[in-house]
Amino acid sequence: MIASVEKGLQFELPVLRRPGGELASRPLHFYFLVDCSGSMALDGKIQALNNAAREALPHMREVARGNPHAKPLLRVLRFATGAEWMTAEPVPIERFSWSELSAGGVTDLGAALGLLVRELGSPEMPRRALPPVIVLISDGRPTDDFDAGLAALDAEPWGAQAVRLGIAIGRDADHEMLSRFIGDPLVPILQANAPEALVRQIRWASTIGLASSSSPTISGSSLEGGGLAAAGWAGGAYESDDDRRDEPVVAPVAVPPYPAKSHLSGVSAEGLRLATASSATSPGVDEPGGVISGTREDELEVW
Amino acid sequence: MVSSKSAIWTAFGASVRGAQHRREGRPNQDAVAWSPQAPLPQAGEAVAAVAVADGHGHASGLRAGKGARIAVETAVRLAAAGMPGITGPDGASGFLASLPDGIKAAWDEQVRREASVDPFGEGELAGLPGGGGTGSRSALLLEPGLAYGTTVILAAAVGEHLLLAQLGDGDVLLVEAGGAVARALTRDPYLVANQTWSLSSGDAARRFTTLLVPAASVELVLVATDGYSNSFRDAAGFDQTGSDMLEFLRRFGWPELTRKLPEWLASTTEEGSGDDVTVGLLAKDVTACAVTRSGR
Repeated sequence: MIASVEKGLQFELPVLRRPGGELASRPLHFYFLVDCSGSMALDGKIQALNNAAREALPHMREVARGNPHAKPLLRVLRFATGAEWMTAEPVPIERFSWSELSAGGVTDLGAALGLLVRELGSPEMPRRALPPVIVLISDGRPTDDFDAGLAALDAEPWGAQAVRLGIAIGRDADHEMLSRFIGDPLVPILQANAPEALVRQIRWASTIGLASSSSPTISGSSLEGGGLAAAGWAGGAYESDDDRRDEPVVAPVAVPPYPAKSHLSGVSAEGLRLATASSATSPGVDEPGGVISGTREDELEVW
Repeated sequence: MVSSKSAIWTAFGASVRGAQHRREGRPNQDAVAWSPQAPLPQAGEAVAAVAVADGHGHASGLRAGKGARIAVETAVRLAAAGMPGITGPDGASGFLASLPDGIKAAWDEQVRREASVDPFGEGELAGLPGGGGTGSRSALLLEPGLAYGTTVILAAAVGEHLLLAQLGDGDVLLVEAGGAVARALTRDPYLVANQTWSLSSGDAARRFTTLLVPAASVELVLVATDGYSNSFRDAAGFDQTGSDMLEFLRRFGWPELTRKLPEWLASTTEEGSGDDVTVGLLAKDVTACAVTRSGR
């Protein structure tokens, strides 16, 4: 910084390297909301989730390295009887480690959303932050006031503009709840009915969510947004016959015939819509806004 | 003592492609324009104006860079044409009130003309995600402006009046003689997570925020696309750019500043947001003020 003596216009430092203060990459808050209710203890679901999340981390770090201008900060919010953050603060992805989660209790998702909304509305969310990513993982139905929690999330500007993804574990998962959480009928739920599928869905959701938010291309577009589409995800499924089966298939994507929501231009939600607009034509997708199965044909469904 | 009426304003700007855009092979979709234009800023014009714009940057934005270019040229042209006749605060307020509608209408007209003369080609449409489906093509035929979407910020000075107009994200800093920096326009609380208002929206004119500022206390105005402020760790770090620019200008003058500004912006996007970075400056001419002060 150049300091001046106003009257004489004298300068303490002769050379200005560049104007302004310290530069920094943009924060990207990534939240896992994890159902740790008693049902998650059955059939090894919670252990499979712990394993899957740990397996996804190196892939997330690889995505993060692709954009040095975004700084991913991870945080896990578990909910069962009540809700709690697993770390006191968001943790930079390079230092993040997955803490073992255990299961037991009911499914207080509404409480979790309340905690999340408080986090999003705090000073810890600077305006320069990239759209947050929220991945909700659940095998059941909320037991508390989910409607109030969701309404609060939608009312919070950061919550409304977040990249939201939902992973359903097992056939008893509440698809209606997950669809409402995602908030867009064109964005499908990621279904996992086996440990292997859960690994793939968590890895997919975490990496594609990270890439969609961290890409500057997401910045304002009234036509297509960016988001998941910018990250190369077309709401597709998995290739089935080679070693790239864990990669999302880029399928044709339609540009929605409308400008961005209301008068606002370009947000992650638009990207999500675009990304999934053609999902009906992608193998493995039941219907637009439906469910993407993460289970391969040669795998048994155990949940 | 220099009266505000005797102050001469000079405008300049620079724009650099974002570091991440460069890595991805995408163009700079920001734009900047100023008046009077010259190889180096010249004093002596009655009106000085500068505008910056941020085209909505994605490959399927098609022509957002052109939309940004049209926006800044339109805004500066309207200011340069309409402001010389302003007399008194009422005249300034009246002109400022009409400016959003004027910019929107002129931008729409120019975009329609551009789209008519140079229709969307198959190559462009193929660049849409998925090659551009029927829905996307229909949307562009109905509203070609969607492909040109952009923000815009204008700062213009004449006599004792400083006019500011902003649509969408970006920043305006006012710097006083002592180096104090103020944010000129209130930020829209809904513009988070890369949300922005756009000139392509039908009601863009009423989404503008405008402000008429007494020019006497302002030495420098900095307008910037959001790629600039997003590059700084905190708001104070960004505000400091205003006072630093003023001090540099006072010491080294416009020729050195015009040479250095692109370098500064390039290093800023590289170490910061990675986004396109564009800055426009409007400053009282130091030499002119000094001459006036000496009584010549």
